[in-house]
Amino acid sequence: MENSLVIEKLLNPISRQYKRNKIKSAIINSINDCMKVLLFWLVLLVFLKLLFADLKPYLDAANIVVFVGISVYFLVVVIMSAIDKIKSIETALVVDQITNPHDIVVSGLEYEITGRKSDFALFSISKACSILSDFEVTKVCIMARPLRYKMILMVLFLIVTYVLIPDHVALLNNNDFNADAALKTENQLSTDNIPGVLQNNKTDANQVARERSLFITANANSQTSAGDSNYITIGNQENSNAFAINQSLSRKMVSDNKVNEYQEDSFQMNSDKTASSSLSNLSESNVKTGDLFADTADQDNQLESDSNDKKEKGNNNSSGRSPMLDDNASAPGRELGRAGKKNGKPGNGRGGLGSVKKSRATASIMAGKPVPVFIKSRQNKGRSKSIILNSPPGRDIDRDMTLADGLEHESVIDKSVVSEEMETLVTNYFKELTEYANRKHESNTRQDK
Amino acid sequence: MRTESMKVTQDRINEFKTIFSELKSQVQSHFIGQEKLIEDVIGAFFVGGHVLLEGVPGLGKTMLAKTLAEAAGLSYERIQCTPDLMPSDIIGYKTLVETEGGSHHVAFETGPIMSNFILVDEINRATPKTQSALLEAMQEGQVTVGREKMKLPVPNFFIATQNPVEHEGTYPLPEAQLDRFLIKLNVQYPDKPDYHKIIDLTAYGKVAKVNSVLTSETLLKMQRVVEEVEVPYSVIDYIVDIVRASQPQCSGLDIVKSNVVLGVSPRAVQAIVMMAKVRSLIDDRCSVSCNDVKSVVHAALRHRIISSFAAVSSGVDIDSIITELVGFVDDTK
Repeated sequence: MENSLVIEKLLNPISRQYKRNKIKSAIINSINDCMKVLLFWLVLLVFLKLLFADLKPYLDAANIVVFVGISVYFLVVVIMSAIDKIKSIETALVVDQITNPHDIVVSGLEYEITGRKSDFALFSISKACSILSDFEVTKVCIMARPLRYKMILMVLFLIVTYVLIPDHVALLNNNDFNADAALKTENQLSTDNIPGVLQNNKTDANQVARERSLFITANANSQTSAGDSNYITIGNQENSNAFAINQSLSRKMVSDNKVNEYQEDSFQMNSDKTASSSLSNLSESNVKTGDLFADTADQDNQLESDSNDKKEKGNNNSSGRSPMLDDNASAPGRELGRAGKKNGKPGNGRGGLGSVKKSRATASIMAGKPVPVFIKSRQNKGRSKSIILNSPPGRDIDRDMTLADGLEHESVIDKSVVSEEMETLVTNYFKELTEYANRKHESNTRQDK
Repeated sequence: MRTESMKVTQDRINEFKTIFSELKSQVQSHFIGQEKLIEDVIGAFFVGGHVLLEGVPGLGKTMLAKTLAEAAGLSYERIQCTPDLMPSDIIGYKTLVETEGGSHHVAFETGPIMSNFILVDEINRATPKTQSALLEAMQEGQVTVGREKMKLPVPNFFIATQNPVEHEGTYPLPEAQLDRFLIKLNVQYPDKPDYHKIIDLTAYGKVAKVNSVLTSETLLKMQRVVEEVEVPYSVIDYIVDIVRASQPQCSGLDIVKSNVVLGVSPRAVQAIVMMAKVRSLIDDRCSVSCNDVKSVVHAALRHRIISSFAAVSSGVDIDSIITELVGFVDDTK
C-alpha cells in the first residue's frame, strides 16, 4: 500500500501539460482543416461569381452556411479536446515514448492499479517512479502538424478577390458567354440602372460620334463583293449602342491588323461618301465606330460562309455528288492489310488489326443501328493451320514405271482363282437362263396373239 | 523493509546478469560471432526449454552445444542420430547381469538420455520411432521402460541439430515433436571479420579450455529468477493476439489465411513469455515489454507454424509471415 497511487500522483502534472498540448494541437489541426475547406470553397466561389452573376444571392446564402459550418466544426473540435479527460495510462505511454522503449512506466502503473505485490512488481513500480520523478514536464509534446501559413494567406487573398470582384464585371462576362442573355439584359436595363463602367463607355461612344458628326449611309455594293447591300443604320438607341460597343470591344479586343485597316478604310470611304450624300438621313441614323467594327468582322465571316456555299452549290449542280473540296482525304483503300495507324495517319478502318471497323450493312439493317465490327487478334503469327483437301487419287510416284512394274501390278489385281472350266460352266448357265427366259417370253406373246 | 526487498531483487537480477554474461563469454570463446543466437540458446537454457538448431554443415552447431555444456558444468551426452538408431540405444535396455555370487538378475542399463545436457545431433536422420522416444523425455522429463518410469536428471536440457539441405535418408520431425522445442534457431554464416577470428582460433591451436561457470543448483536458482519476472496484462494480450493471428481460422491477416495450414499452439505463448522474461532480465528490467516479445517471437514461432504447399511453392517463408504478424498486431493497446 506504500506505493498506492504514487505513479498516478507523479503523472498528474504531466497529464495537465499533455492536455494543454493536446488542445493546442487540436486548434492547429482544426485551423488547418478549416483552411483546407475554405480554400476549396473560395476558389469555387470566385469562379462562380465570375461566371454566373445571376447566382449571387445563392452564393451569398451558401457563403453563410459554409462559414457557419466551419466555425461550428472548429468550436466543436476545440471544445471536445478541452473536455476530453486524459487517462493516466495515456500519459504513461507518452512518458515511455519519450524516455524508454520498454514501457516501464506503463507496466509500473499497471502493477500499481492491479495491486501486484511481488518483489519484481514492486521493483518495476519503483523504477517507474524514479523515471517519473526525473522526468521534465516540458518534454511532453504532441506531434502536431505545423500551422499552414501559406494556406491562410491564400484564403485571405481569395476572400479579398471575392470581395473586390465588381458585380458588373461578372455581368459582362456572363453576357460574353451568352449573347441572347445579354440582349435580354440590355432590354431590361434602364439608364439609371446601368453600372458606372457601362455609362462611361456609352458616353465615350456617343461623344466620338458627335465629334466626328458622322451620319453615314453606306452602300454595301460598293464595299463587298457578295452583292449584298449592307446598310448601317444607327438610330438614337443610345443604351443599346453603348452596350453594343462594349460587347464588340470585349469580343474584339485583340482583333487583327487587317480588320483595323479595313475599318479605317471603310470609315474613310464612308465619310467621303456621306459628305456628298444627303443629310436627310441625319435624323434617322447615326454611325458609330463600334458597330462598324462589329459589322466588318461579321462581313468577314459572311464572306467565308459564302465561299463555302458556292462550293456546295457547285457540288450539287454537277452530275454526281462529288466529295466536298475541303474533304481532300483520299477514299479508303480496298486492299487487305493491317489497319490502325499508317504512316502516322489514322487507319482507314479496313483490314487487319484496328479498333472499330465500318458498320456491316446487313447487321446494321437487321439491328436497326450501326453494328461495329471488332477483330480481336494478335500481332504475332497465329498457329499454323493445315488443310486437307479431298483430291482424287493419282500417281504420287515421280519415278518412271517400268513395264514390269505395270504388269506385275495388273497381274496381281487381275489374278483370277477361277478355272477356265468353271468359268465356261458358269457362263453357259447364265446363257441358258437367258435363253430360257427369252423362249418363255416368245411363247407367251404367241399365246396372247 | 521495502528498501531491503528492493535491494534483494536488484541483487538477484544482477546475479542473473553476471552468470548469463559469464556463460556467454565462455561460449563466445569457442563459438565466434552470432551474439543473438548465443543469447537465445543460453536464454532457453535458463528457462529450461529445449533448442532446435538448424543450419548447413560446418557452422558450428555441435560446437555451440558442446561448449555450452562444458561451460555449464553439467553432465553431457551426445547422441548421433542415424537411420538404424533404436529407441533402446537412447533410453537404455534391460540386460541379464551376473552377480558375484553367481546368480543372475535383470538390470536396466541406462542410455545416454540420462544426462543433464543432451545433444541430439542430426535428429532428422533418426527414424520416427526413435524420434518419438525423445518425446516423453523432452516433455515429461522421464522415460518409460516396460512398466518402469525413470525421471531424467534435473536440470535437463536438449539441443538438437538438423541440416536443412540434405533430405535424402532423413525423416522430418513431426509437428508434435517440433512443438516440444522451446525455440528453433537458424544458424547463419558468420560475418567477414568473424572468419579471421575463427582461423586465428583454430589454425594455430589456440583453443582455450572452457571453464565451468555454473552448477546445476545455480542453474535452477536462475530458472526461478526468470519465473518471477512480471509480465503485464497488456503484454500478455499482445502475445495472445500474435498467437491468434497466426491461426488461419481466426486470423485477420491474408498472408496467414492463404499460406498457413496450422497456426501456433498455446504452448507458443508460454515459450514467448519465458524467452521475453530472459530478455528483460538481460536488459536489467524485471518486467516484460512488447519489445522483448518482438525480439523472441521469431525463434519461438518459427517451427510451430506449418505453411501450406502454396506458400512453399511461391517462396513465402515462415519468418516473413511472422514479421507480418508482428506488424499486424497493435502493440500500443
